[in-house]
Amino acid sequence: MRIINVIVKVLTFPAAFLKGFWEQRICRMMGIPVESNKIFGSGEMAGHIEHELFLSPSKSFNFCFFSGLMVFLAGVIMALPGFICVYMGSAGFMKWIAFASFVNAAMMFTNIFPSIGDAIEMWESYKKMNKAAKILLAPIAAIMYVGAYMETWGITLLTNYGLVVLLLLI
Amino acid sequence: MDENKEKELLGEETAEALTEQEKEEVGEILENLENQEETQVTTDWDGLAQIGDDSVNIEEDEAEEETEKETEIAEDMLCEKCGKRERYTELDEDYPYCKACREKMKKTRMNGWGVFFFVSVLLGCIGYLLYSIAFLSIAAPVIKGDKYMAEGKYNSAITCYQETIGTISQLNQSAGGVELFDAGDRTYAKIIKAYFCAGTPTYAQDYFSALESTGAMDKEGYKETKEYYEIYDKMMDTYSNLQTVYVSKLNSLYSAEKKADISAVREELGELEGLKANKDNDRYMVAYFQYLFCSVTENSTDDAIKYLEEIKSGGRTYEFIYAIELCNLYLEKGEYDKADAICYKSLEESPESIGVYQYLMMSKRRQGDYDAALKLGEEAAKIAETIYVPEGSSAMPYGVPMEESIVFALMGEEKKAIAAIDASNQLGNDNANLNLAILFHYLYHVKGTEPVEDDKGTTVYDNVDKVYDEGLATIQNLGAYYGLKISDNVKAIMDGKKTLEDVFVTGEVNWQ
Repeated sequence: MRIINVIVKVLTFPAAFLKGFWEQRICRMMGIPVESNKIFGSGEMAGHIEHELFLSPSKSFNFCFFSGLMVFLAGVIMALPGFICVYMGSAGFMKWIAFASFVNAAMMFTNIFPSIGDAIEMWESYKKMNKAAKILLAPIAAIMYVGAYMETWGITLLTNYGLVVLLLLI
Repeated sequence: MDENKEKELLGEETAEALTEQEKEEVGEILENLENQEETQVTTDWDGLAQIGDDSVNIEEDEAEEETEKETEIAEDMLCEKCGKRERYTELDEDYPYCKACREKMKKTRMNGWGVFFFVSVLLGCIGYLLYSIAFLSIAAPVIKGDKYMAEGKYNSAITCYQETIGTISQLNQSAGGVELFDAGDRTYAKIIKAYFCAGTPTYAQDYFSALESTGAMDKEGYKETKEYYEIYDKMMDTYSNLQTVYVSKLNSLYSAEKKADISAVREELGELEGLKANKDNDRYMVAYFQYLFCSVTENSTDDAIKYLEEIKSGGRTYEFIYAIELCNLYLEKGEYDKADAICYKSLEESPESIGVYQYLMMSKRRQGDYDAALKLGEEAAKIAETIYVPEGSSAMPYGVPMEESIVFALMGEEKKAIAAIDASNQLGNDNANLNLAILFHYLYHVKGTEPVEDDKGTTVYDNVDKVYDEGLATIQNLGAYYGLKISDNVKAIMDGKKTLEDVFVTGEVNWQ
């Protein structure tokens, strides 16, 4: 599992670095001590930064959500030209633009989830939230929690690139 | 920052007592403190308080420090990072770092590669966004076209798709003919569908060629387009094969001085009937050839209606070959309800088919209901305003104002008749509206006047009416090429041998 995660991160290194960047940036903004600014650590921490435990549920949730959201937004912007090309059914040169667009976007979408450690902490924090917040944030928390495992096992990489192939073959 | 507290902490005696390394650490922490919020400052003072037992002199901590001086820090309680100070265990007893190191970690420098990729991705995103915006402006008409398609506004949708195809073509031309941009196979598939839904599949020919060249029709997503292509291909093949066999016979019948009777072509009609059983032939196109034989012979109205009704059963795809002809035949026979039904069905299937209003108006005109005819003209004008057309164009077909001009003339509204026929000729010309322009301008303006001369006595116009002159000139100059001629009925009205009612109410439908 650990080696798979490293392979996934190596294959999608620009997005892995971007995710690490946002994790560190958000830690700084929330005043969370970062133990090491090394992004490409080994094992499960590859593509993530090591930081101190969050003491409040909201900080834990915000860290996982916003660091992923920033990378997700970058992915959406990168996927835009590809979607327009697919919508138009472009061929030739435009198809290559769609290809580049989707490959970059898939890279981003493969790195939107937190590390397993952060996901577990977020899930525990989520359980402590009040009822209204729990109902409101349930889908996002569940997606992030499950996504963290999927990302570590390389499933997100496979599904994202599978989707790219499918979109380009239509 | 609390300056008093700082002075208290860094008094001369205490500062001298610090080692060089401790001084550096204190300096670092103070630097950090300057940038922190008030709430955090309290924590940092605590952090400072941990540096060197005897370097800090805070009254409230005195007792504690005294104890620290007395007892050595156990090795397992030392900070894992600096190895000097005691671990910060207030929040977590297993916390491995001291409070000062913890504060430093909050300001850990950003990872250089992280920053590099952040900037790269940011620039990439700006590039992708700019490209998307540029491409969206080209693709926007396609999105608009899809909206029109969903509303059943096929003509508007076709205009939208053509806009994108035109823009892409211009861009490629400006790029020196290199195919940098592509309107997209889906756009071609959409315009093909729009033409089929509009009942004019033959206009889709170029787009089928475009899709064939990219091999798109073999893909899973283009099944519907492939079905359209099979219909179109069969239709065109049948037409081409039948034309090869029957064109000379049809031409000779058409150009004969006296129209032959329908009985003269029964053999051909029978042959064609036999071809319908062959699955390789498009039976509706075969029926169209049977209609063509009827159209060039006498006493063939009922047969012609039979064949056109058969084509009609083929659906909207064949509207382009049956609707107008069938309408005309029913109008000729005085079966106005049937003619109207064809028009209303077309409008129901495609609300933008305002061309059929001409036939609805014709039906009312021949029934003498002029007000109803004019009301239909107004309806058509309202629909025309909602149809999307390229800038500077009009969606109104010239047939509608032409019909209005006839109705106005029949009602004795001379000025309105002239205005309507002029409007019709501005939208487009054919033999009918050119003839009417000449007729109405003659009747209401030219008749009884002399040619116009300038001051020197040179003839400027043959008469007082420029439209009349130009209409005649157009027919004289282009008549041979475009099949234009002054109608015998128009001549008869001009000479006073026939009235407007004789020609436009009780006369033939095709008066020209």
